Amino acid sequence: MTPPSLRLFRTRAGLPALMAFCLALCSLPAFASSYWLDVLCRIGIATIGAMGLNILTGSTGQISLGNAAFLAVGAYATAALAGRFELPFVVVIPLSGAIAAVTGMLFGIPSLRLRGLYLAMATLAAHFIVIFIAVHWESVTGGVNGLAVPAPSLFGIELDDDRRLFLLILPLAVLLLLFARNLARTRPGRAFIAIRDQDIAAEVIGIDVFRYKLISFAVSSFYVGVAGSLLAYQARLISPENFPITLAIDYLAMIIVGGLGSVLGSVLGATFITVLPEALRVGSGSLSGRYPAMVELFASLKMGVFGLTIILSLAFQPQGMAARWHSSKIWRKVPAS
Amino acid sequence: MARLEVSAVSLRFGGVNALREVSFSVADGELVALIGPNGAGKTSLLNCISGVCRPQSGKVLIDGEDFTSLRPHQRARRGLARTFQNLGLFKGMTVLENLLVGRHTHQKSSVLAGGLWFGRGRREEQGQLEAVLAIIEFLELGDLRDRLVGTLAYGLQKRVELGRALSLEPRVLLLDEPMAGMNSGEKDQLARLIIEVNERRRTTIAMIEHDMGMVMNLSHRICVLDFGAKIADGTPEEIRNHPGVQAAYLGQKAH
Repeated sequence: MTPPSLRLFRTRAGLPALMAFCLALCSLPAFASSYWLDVLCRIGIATIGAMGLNILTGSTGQISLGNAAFLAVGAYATAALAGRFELPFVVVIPLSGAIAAVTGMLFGIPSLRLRGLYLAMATLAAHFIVIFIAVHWESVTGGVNGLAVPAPSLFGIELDDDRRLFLLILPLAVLLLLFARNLARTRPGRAFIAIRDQDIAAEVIGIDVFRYKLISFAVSSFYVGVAGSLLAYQARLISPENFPITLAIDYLAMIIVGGLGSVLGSVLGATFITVLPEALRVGSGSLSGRYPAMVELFASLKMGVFGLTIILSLAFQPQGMAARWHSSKIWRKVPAS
Repeated sequence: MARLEVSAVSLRFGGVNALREVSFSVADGELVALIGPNGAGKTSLLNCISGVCRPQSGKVLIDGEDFTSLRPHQRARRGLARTFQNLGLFKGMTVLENLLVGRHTHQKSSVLAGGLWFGRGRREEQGQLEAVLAIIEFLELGDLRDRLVGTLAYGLQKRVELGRALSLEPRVLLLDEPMAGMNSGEKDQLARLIIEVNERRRTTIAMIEHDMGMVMNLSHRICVLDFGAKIADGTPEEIRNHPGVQAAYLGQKAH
């Protein structure tokens, strides 16, 4: 019997539950409104991006504020490869991820010397360098005006709306999440966590710490690059404004609220942070019907409520939503045993 | 040829001479204890051997191979393992996973093989699991296999750390105060395990330890440091009667 920490799913119900959940998600495009389909697609993209950041920050312990930059690299790579070279998306998406991975490795080099907040500052610099290039390298990026991205197509069918795009994003997200879980239970994933928990002991037990930090940057940025690629395919028009530094902070919020180093936490965090502003919008919209004067008040309150919700979730579940999920399951088993 | 050879190692931190031309050697299969008052440079010496510190001068050789300029992970790959005075465990991992990290140098699988859970990478993982489970059984940690190490008692964490070092199947094992903070029952149990590692697995051991009774009973030879210099080296009997050692170390401990 494989020990629980080395299994793909914690419980035997894991695999059927995942399959049922995916089937349910597949049926959603049939009846969800286009507004919620857009949200659904963005959740899928955010999940992939958050998973990537979670490998780097949650598992390997390297704080990064460069996530929006790596999203931008993936998105611009897609705009160039799909727009200029007219490559099919099956080539464009992994290639965009690979380009982001190389960029990530490059910006990961300072992690040899820098840790914690200092590394965060170095990756913040990476963000501004990438955005600077996006604004000024006009012949490739289109500058502040941005670039149009053609719709991805498969066997002549254009995936030109969220309904069809979602059926591309969902399996991709599931595959990347399974890959991340496999990584966590095998040699490279253990090396990442060892570096996070005790880097000197990790080096002494035989892990080439610098090499594995760079590998972590590469794998993480690959995920984020894929997310950026999908983001470009969904938005169809990208400009530097799509990648503000607040986006990088949103991603950090996702993995902290969801659960550091956890696959499930990436999904829950990405969902929560993506849906929260939408829920607030819907909520304030319905109230404004009754109290028209509240509209302006709610518009400004929305950011406050967003921040408050994050603070409360951190205060009451500091281990993240994933830990809460697992512990609640154990709790439910008690009466049965 | 000695298994582990330290020759004329000097280590300075600014104006402080942590080690002054220290030389000592450990033969194949030997268990040598390093003793000395606090601040004598024992841990600094282990740091120089394992590569955590780089000495300003001197050499570290294992089976005649020069280790002096190798990085710590390269030394581990060549069969050197150690434990830490203040524990260097990976607290976010289970006991089992900590020991599996000890197998890192015995594995080859990359990110793709691991992530895809495919072919060689998958078979390799299962092979490592068997090796590690045998060590868990040897150290009597079976019941705690799936516990996070951060939740274990101190004495148990010490044993897990020993297990992680053993997973590497080292030629030379360095132990930094393996019994610190243990009660006498735990010490006896650990002493038994250390003897077994040394005798049955033929692992060469250099160990820092403060419990004089244990040191005298366990070690084949004792090396004494004081103020960064070696002041004595000999059998437990010789060290017991060495006037310099009694003055520097044992003399302060009025029993």
